[in-house]
Amino acid sequence: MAALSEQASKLLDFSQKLDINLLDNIVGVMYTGNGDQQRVAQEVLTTLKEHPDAWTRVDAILEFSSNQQTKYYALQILEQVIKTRWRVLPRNQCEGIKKYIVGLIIKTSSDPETMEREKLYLLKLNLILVQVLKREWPKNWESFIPDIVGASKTNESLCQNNMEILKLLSEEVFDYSSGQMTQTKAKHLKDTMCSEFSQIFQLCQYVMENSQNAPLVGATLETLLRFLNWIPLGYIFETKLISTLIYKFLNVPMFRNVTLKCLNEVAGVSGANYDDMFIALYTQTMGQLEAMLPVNTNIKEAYACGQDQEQNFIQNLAMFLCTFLKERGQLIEKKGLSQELLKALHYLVLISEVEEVEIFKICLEYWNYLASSLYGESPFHPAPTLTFKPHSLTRREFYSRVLTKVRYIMISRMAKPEEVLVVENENGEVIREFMKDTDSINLYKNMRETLVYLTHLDCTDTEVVMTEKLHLQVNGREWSWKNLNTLCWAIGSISGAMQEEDEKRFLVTVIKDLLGLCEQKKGKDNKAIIASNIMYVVGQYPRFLRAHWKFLKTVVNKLFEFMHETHEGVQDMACDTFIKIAIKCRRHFVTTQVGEVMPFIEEILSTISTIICDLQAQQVHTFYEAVGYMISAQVDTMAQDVLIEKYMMLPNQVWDDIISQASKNVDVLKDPDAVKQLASILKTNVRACKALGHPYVIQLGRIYLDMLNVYKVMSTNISAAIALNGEAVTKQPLIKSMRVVKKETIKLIADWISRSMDHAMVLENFIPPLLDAVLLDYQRTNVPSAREPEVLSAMAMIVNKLEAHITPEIPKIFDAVFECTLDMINKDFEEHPEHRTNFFLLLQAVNNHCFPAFLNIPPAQFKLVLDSIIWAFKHTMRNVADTGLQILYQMIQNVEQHEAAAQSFYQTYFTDILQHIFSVVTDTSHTAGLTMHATILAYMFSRVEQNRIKVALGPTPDNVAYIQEFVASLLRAAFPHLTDNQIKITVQGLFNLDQDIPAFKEHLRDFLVQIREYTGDDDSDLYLEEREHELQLMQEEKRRIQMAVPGILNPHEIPEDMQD
Amino acid sequence: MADSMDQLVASLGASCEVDADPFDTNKPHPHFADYAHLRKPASLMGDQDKRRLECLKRQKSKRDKVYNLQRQLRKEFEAVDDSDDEAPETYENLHKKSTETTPKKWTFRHELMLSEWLVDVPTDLEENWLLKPCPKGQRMMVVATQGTTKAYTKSGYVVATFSSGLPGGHRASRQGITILDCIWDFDNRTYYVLDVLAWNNIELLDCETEFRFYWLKTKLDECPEVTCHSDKNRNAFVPLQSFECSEDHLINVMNRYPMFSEERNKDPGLDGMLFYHKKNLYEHGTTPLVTWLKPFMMEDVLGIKVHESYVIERPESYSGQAAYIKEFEEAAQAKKASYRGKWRKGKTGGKGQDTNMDCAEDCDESKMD
Repeated sequence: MAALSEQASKLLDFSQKLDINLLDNIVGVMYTGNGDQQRVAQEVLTTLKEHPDAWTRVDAILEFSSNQQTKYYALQILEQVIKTRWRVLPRNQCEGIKKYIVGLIIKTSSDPETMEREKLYLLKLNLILVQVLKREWPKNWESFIPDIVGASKTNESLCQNNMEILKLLSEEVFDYSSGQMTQTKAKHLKDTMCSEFSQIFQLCQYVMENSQNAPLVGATLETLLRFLNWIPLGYIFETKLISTLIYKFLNVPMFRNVTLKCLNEVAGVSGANYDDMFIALYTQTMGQLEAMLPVNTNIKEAYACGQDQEQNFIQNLAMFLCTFLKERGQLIEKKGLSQELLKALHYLVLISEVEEVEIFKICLEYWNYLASSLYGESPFHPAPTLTFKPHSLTRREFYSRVLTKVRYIMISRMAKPEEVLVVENENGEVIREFMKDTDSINLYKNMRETLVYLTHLDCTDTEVVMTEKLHLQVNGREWSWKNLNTLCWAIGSISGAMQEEDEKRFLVTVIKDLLGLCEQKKGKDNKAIIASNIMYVVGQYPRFLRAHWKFLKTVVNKLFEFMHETHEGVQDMACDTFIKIAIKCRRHFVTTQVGEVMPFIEEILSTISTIICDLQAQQVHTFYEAVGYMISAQVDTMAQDVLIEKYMMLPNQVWDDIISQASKNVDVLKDPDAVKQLASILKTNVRACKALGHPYVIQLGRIYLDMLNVYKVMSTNISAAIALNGEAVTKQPLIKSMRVVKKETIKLIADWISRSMDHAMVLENFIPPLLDAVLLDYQRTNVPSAREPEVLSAMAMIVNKLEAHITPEIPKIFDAVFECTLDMINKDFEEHPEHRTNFFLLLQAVNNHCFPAFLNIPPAQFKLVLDSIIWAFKHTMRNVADTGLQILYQMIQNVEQHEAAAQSFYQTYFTDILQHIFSVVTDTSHTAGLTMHATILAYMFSRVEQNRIKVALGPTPDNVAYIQEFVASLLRAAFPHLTDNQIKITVQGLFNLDQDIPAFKEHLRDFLVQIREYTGDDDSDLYLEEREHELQLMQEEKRRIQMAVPGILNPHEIPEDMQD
Repeated sequence: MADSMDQLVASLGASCEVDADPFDTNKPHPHFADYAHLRKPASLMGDQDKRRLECLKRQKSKRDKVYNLQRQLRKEFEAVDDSDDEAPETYENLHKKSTETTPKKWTFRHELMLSEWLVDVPTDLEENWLLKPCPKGQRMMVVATQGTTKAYTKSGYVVATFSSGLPGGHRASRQGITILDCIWDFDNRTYYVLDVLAWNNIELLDCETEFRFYWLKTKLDECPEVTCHSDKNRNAFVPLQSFECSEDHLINVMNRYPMFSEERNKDPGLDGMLFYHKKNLYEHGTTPLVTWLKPFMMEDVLGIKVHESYVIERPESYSGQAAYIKEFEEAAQAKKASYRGKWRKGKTGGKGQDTNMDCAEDCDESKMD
């Protein structure tokens, strides 16, 4: 091994001739060796690759090495130098490299056999050429397009590879250009490519019409596919392109997938003036299709037993039909081509049955579009008989038969509404988590939306289909757990879409049938599934429940019964349904219903111990939350307080018992069962508080001081245990439970304060004991990891809630938590992540609401605050960095409100802050914060420019000149490769654009592209944020539209005060 | 439409269930349920009486088999009896465990014996049944072994661990296992003992009710310390008294108030009445040989007047059913009379039970149709 590294050092000596055999040898070790040998080889190769002169060896390696992997390695060296150092290489060397690569490509691709053999090598060469082109073309290589087109005509295999190069170039310029080139450059390349496209197009056309060489034709079609979304429309519609595609290639199995993709691209382009061409494209394609795929084919089966190629064809067909019908469906309708339209819809229905979820999603998108557009044009159901147009069908009527089939598909494929996972959390507690935003939930949402539109379009038909499917369950022909679940999810999904009377009639039949099924099936497994489905359906229809008290009461009593049933999952189902119903129908439980002598809540409260006796702890918590929602609906405060007292009686009894035992002997609080019980009681309280909101105060007051005492005792116990046995002891179950008690205590207090409605009362009664107990404990805890990070988030929450009211207490809070926490997190960027996050959230809260507190602290302490903010935005943890930037921006704005403080602030910190911000702007790991960086810089520059800074920031009295020079020298020092001119323009722009943040940001981003071109970093991430934002806007817009359609939102998504 | 809703409510109450047992005490008593649907003859609902006989028969044959095995008659027994061996799986397990001498391996899930509603009043109530008034509280299985005592809920979750004076339940007594079937009264930190599954390593599952109750009482009397609170015995264990089911006894018991303690504030309150068949063995899960009534049902089902404090506890929904009950009573007058007559007659004669029972069923069906 020593020998290996010694030999390797020879490779790095550029004064000697390169030893190709040695290099081949080392590359061989790297690919086939193992362990240390491989590691050493890797190191040698990396060092060599990073050597600035490494590229000078590439030609020798490529020429003399016989090892493919060595050649590939050489090409990597070449790619690296082009990507990062092209600009600094002397011109003649650039020309040399360029010619060398072109020569190699021509040599390798001229012979079909070599080309096939060295496919990967050639691909890499092509990629390198494209990298060169991005830098050279068109300025230094005006004739590139004529050159390549000319060369193509000489040799078929050469032509095939040239198609490949053009494809890659098109992708680079049009698909991936954002962020890799400055905006002006990307535009220039696009313009050039468009203007020279005719030559490329002629070449393609020539190949397509004349070549008998299948791989060449294939490559040409692939290349054309990349062109279609940007080339001038004339090439597509005013040539024979479309008919060539359809008649010459679509029915050739080898080309049909790529051809269909091309047609799909064409279908998607926006060409308002080419209606006739689109129609022709459509009818011709459909004509060909019918021959290839007879309309009576069972596509579902064909797909299931098809080869990859055939399966792809089905997928491409789905995409083509969906794109075309979505973009041009109205056009076809207008032209009256109803037969052709029906044929396409027929295909789509068949494809929708294919059991491949990705294909189904494609179809679903179209069905969703169709249903919503049909609904959108006349949301209020027109009476069909009133149209005096007997000769022509309305759109709805035209589509009605297809939509019936779509209803069948939606109903029999309905996705699972939400996923519940049972997991163990870090404190060793078993909890239930609702999985949000998984693929399957999105599918459910889209399907539900579609089905709701379909129901609006014809609710009778939806009802008929669902009833029919239900009968197939009852008579056993489709009976299975999966089918029943699917059907019930579908039934539950259209809640609210029907008129109330229709819905009622429909539900009565559905529930009756399901009950019949439950009676008919034997075995606990079957019955449990059916009962769960009945309860799911019922829980989805709160409107129905609210209108029928006796039914609601029976359902709830049934659920109580199920809470004793130990069959797998039944208790969970009962508790989940109970809380769903409690939230939606809460008022009905606290009012005396017709035929009753008292509100039902009274009955629940008096039998609560019996109801919950068989439930597990977390189910009991859910139960308490549910009952809490009911009590929260009682508007009479007196009556509500009575209910709350009765409601909390059981947990309070246990609590009192433990507390009274502990008051005699504090060691009771070390008993594992006692600690567990306390944790459970606190969790019950947390849930009660969540449901009750402010009125929970009556219960909080009852246990508050005892609870804080328990907190202190737990904390002392934990610290003592750590002192005795080391930090490993925190893994022990007892210590974990004690921490749970602490965390739940803090959570309870923070949760309640966030829901409280009387600041004065909170400040006077609840804050002082909290500060004394919890904060002092936090400060005095001698083992940092034993400090609960929730203390910080709770304080942040409290400051956000009480705002300026709590300003007088800020010094006290800071004394307790600031320095000791800072000490935990200022060593590195990773340790104690939760403390870190929460610490800055607290700082942010104080800065937002209690800024005057900062003005009153000693300068040294203020500097500590500012330093910690700067520390925050240097984090690579995105949430921490974001918080840091937000605090800083807000703080500069706050400072400005206080004239005297502002000037001394500017004088002390202005240039410091600038420097730190620039250091993160130019750091690749902080790209995500670009908008915020731009905002802060723009704001700071505008302060200077508008003369808000009265004190001189530098030796010269002119602050503008000084800051410009300051920034320029900052950049010059950091990026010596930039020219003075580049720096001057950058700095000038920063000042000129400081009133226009988007433009300021673009300017900053262009500057970053310039730096990265030199350093060779990837920069596609620079535009991520824009895309995220755009997506989010679309999402919001969509939701806004949805809110207006009854039933589109799940009843459990609708904000509470809109109903009940 | 209103009718259809009523029907729906009725069938939801009746048909939407996981456990098909209509006598499950977590559901309303079938005769007093809100569900018209359930008001059909007991014979259609599971025929409690018949199941009781089958149950006793099965228990008897199970015990015979065990005895035979202990007499080393294994070979003959297998040759004779293997063919019609259709005993349920639980039996198979017991059977195996009792033949091999290894101690029973206890799991603590679903071990408790649970009652059914008393629906068909047994004709031999007076001579063959015992009554146990049952306090309010949570049902627990208390297991004392290896020096600690744990309390398990019905479904097997440990909810408390403590030291008790029971054999096996404290530091000085690590050997052996004691298992009790209890009701936990939180306020008084007292376990009211209903039944015993094992005492100091002696398994009592295959003993008859009478014997188990006797054993329980004697053993608890032997160690009075477990009935008080102390550091060694953190919670008190108090045996629940059982009574014969003669009319006099029943009337006497039902007029005791408070039921469990002289001091009213220490009384946990009466939850209901458990009826144990004297010959019943301790089995897991629900059995028709232990039945349950709420105190206020005593009059309707057995014709026993109860102390007024127990009448007050009738839930509103039950009072709401008063009209129905009246109607039901009128319609089923004959049936009730025959039931009552039967078990009272039993006091004097008690012959010809079988014919009586058939007759009861017949008239049952004819009345309800």
